[in-house]
Amino acid sequence: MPWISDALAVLASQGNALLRLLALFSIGGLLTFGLLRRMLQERLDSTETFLLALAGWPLWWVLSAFLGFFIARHLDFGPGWTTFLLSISGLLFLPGWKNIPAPFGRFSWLLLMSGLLFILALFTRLAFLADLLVPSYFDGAFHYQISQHLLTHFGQWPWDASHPLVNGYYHIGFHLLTASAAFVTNLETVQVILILGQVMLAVMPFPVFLLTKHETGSPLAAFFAFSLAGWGWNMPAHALNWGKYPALAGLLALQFALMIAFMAARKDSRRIKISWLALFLLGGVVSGLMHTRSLVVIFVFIFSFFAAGFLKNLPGRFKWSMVAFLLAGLGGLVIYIESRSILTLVFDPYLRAGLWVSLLVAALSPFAFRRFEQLSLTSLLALFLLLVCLVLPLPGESFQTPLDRPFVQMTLYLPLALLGGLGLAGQRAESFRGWQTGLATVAVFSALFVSIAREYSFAPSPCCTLFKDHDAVAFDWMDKHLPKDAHILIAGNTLNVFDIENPAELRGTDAGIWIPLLIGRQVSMEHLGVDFNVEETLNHLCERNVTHIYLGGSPERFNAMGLQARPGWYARQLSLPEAQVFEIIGCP
Amino acid sequence: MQKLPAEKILPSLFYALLLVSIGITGYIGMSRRANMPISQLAPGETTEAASVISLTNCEAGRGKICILATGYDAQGNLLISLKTTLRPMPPIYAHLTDARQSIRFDCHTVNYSPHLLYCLSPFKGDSATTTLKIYTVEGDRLLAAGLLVFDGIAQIPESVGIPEQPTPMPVSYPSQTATSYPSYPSYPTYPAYP
Repeated sequence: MPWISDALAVLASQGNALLRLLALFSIGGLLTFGLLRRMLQERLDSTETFLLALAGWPLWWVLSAFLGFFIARHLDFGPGWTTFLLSISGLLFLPGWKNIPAPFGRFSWLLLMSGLLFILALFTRLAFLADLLVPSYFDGAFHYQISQHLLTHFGQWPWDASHPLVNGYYHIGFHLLTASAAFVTNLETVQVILILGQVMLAVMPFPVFLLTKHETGSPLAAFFAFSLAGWGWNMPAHALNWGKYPALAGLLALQFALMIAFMAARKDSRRIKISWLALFLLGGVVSGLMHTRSLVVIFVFIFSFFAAGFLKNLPGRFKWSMVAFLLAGLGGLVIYIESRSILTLVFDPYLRAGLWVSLLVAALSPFAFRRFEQLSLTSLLALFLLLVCLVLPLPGESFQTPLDRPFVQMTLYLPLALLGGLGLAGQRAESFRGWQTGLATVAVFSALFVSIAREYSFAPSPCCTLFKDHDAVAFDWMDKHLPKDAHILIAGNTLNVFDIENPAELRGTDAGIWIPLLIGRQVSMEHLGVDFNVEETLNHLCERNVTHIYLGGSPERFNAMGLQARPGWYARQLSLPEAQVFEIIGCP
Repeated sequence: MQKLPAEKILPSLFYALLLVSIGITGYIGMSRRANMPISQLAPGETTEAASVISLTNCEAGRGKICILATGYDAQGNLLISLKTTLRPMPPIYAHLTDARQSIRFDCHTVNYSPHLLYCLSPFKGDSATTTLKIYTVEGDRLLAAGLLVFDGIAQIPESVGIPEQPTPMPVSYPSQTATSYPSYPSYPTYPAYP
């Protein structure tokens, strides 16, 4: 298992940075823990509070970063320190929580196991960082750019709205989190993004564990759901290969809000109900700040929950007719989406790579429907509605839908993992003999772990690592050898996410997108299909004052043959196996 | 004054100890690193290695130092990139020797990764195999040595004066599709690791 040595290597080389970010994480988690104890009294036991606090750790940091920016503008106090002090002072705002029975006053093995599971989950995630120099894909460069901008422009509240980077951008909560984390821990922004991504991924399955345990009372079923949510499919982890850090942070925050909402659905005093509602709103606001599409997912699940409650109370025949109708609709949607060239990728982790795990969940789901009707129906409805959000066009938009394909792809694991956990709990609650139930449980866990051991990849996917070792060397060489005013052409390709292509938008396709961020040279993007062999291209480049061309080593890049075919126009300045720099020498 | 019950003291102590231990560990780690002047360390203390490291190609297996690739720049400099797991990596230089000459290369750590270095110097050797030796700047100690095999990766650019005709790239890239490539692809080689 090479991932273990990779994880150990990362621990050795980045242990210090990890510790500093874990301190940040602990403070955020501790404050959320205190807030939950204070507001919900003993509605949740210590283990449940701990698990919820794990998911809610970024709440304080994001909100205090907002306040920090605001206060800093008026007090000239230094927003980073304001952010830090505000978070620490959160302890003082919660004097009441020390009057509530302490978490370790009722020590539970489950609590200890949860702590150990977190450490184990984090360890498995570290392997991802072994060979990664910067966040993956073109999104990674974008998130680095904005976080770095906020970090270097602390004190501008509202931030420079005219700046094209920040203006109208919809993941600002995540970037505030990374900028304040970089400030407080004094780490490089790149390192903060990379490590925080893995910490968030390690925490990601805990809300599913919590809800399954809360609903079924079975730690085994909760652990099964936890394993499914973390490693059952390559989602949501693969999203980090796409640089989808804000989406992942939004997914974590929305799970916090959803767990609050689901657990609040019981009889409580008015004061506690208000507390549940306030916490839900807090989670909703933070997830919306992290990624606005999170709000659509929250709506989908909440709507599904109420619709499931309605369905559950229908007379038997109507109810099962509706479920059959829903399943038929789901099947129809799957068939339709499978026929669309771009959208069909949404099922790659579930119907191709992770097919056996999906079948295992499907096999267990009848037990879930028998025993845990409302939450199972909620999961099924959410599955259906998430896919609807993928194909339903937004009014007035030519190609936008409420959720894009990557976001749906990385969210589908959530209802499936819940169904799996509920299914195992349902199966164990059936009137089988003890040894039969035990045997079935062992078989289910074995099937899952065999699948994980055989198919799960802990390493970054070669699909999306744009900046590699050769690029790093080439960048260093360019920084030392190219003039400061060099203008470099980099490769781009059409952003191909929605069912309808949007030809106007280009995305970076190789390491070239990191040139302005790391070595400060100006770049222009051109479609990777451009033909360098024709004079028209040369004239076009000369008119734009482009001086150099960069070719990285990713599968999507300029065609070097056209450049090599015209040695009188383009002179190769640097040649490495997966990185090349050409100078344009043919301009008049 | 009311005495605090044990069940409240325990968690408070736990969290206090957690924060203090994280703080102390972080402080010690940072101050150790900050106060470690590499140049003042004895040669044996600068790296994990006491003996000469055998240089291999990184693809063949990653040692403490391995050869990542070779390339050329337009000035006719041979660029040798290296990957290392040594922390901290002392400042180094290299000597490349073939049957006719021995040339010194200056080496730099890459800005964006402490694990990467590259060495650069004019070199027009035509023998297929040369010997690469890496020395520490401080004390001229031989750190690593091995054969550098030119397997076609290093290619002299046109402006150096060697091939005028367009030459095919020796490195094979995967085929590309210009327009049909979907954004945010799945694992292409799932489930292979690494």
